[in-house]
Amino acid sequence: VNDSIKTALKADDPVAHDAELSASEIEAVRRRIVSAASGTRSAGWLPGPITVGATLAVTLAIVVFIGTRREPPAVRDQVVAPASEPRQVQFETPGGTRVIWVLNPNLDL
Amino acid sequence: MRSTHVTAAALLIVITAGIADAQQPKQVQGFSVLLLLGETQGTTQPENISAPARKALADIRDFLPYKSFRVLDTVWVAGSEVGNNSGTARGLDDQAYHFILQTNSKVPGAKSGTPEATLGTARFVLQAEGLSGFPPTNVLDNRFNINAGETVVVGTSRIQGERALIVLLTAVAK
Repeated sequence: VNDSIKTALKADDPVAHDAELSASEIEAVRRRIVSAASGTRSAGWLPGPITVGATLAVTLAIVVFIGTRREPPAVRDQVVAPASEPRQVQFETPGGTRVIWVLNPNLDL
Repeated sequence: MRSTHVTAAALLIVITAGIADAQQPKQVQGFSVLLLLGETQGTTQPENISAPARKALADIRDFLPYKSFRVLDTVWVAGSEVGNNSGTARGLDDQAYHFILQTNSKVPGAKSGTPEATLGTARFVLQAEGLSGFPPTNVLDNRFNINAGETVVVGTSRIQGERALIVLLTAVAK
């Protein structure tokens, strides 16, 4: 049954008996495809270098702005201690001021 | 023509002197210890404090919950890149706080006048004087990096406490 189906398909294949394309025809087809593909790229919406650069710049500006306004300063050194023991935190403000802070649960002012 | 040459030479001398001065390692002449009380209530702002201390206070304002900063005492100690200094500051209710300030250069033992010999590290100890018969209590005992001309903020509070004891330590450069 398989052989008969295979034979029938081959017999009805519309391009099975066509002659192969010549080298020049192949080259012409390739040129047309490459040309079409290049045209599609320039016509479609893809971000160019300026768009990408501008987006990155705006993103960076937003991150820096938020960082200076909202982000807590980077903690450089934190000594972990039991809850009843004083804890020391060292950090630097965006303005460059070094801060050493001791959280002391037993502090009495 | 001659006056132009003289002016140019004078300008060159001034610029060269300026560059040489800028490259000179900063030397410390002393330390200013400013004791502050920070409070979550009120709006008191310290007056008559040095420009570096004011700048440091403005820097930390966003990171601390305190709205009011009251100057309790200011103490000046003459000192240098390497040495031990001590003094006493008065806090709330005339509470005496003794402090010890140990300073060291960036590279211990470095030749004087070199960048390595400039101020690099400090240890600050603050002790609250105990009632008669009781030993003093260590309020602060911290080691940190510090440069000549820099103000370092050393503070202590309870977690979510309404008050904080804050020291603004400025290494005053010559």
